Amino acid sequence: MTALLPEELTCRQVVEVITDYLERRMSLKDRTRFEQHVVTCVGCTSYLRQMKQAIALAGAAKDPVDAKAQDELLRLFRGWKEKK
Amino acid sequence: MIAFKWLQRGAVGPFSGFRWPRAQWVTADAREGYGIHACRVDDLPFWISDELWRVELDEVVAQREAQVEARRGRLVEQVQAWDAAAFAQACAAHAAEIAGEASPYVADARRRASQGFAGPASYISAVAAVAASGDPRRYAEERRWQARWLARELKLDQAGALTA
Repeated sequence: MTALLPEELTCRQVVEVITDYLERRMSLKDRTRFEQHVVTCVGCTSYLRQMKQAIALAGAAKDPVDAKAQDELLRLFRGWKEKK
Repeated sequence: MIAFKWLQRGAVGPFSGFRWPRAQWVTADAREGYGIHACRVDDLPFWISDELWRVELDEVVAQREAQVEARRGRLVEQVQAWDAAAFAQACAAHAAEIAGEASPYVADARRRASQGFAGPASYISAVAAVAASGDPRRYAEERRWQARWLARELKLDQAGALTA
């Protein structure tokens, strides 16, 4: 969905900020905009549900990621963010 | 204060995932923004979900644009007259009156209505009014029309009472 209205979020913006939303790092105003977009967008509703499920599954995993693998994942993630 | 609350099927909060007990008081997180959110009649079109409930709120901490926040609340009764398909179709039909059947937004609203997605259908209908007029203020006007439709068809009043 593309926003026609100045205050509206686009789906792309939702994807970019979803981690902030899930980690409760958004202002109330931004969180409300985020949730209002999700209510109106089938794709983002599905995406948010999938993200929550993924977090719940990862949290329930019996074998945590070992420290070396975690460092490597963080390095790759930071490299990806810097390339953006 | 009596207000309304949209929940997913089974009385589950659409964002919190919290399953609401029937009739019991629930106390929320004390942090502002993480309380119990509910709607006045005019707020209803912005938060459409599967089930609509009348709720009693206590310790209201804020009345904002499009939502009310309270520290405590309880479900009073489900609004059984809520019909997502009828609402979605009414929104799309009203958008067609304003924007014309040739509008791609109207076609999209009708498609979402036929799929049973009332939230997207109502939103796209409001956007159709904006696209047809070029005036962003039409969005709020269309949302107000939708709220009036809900109040009339579901027999809700602004004080939160069911008027049936």
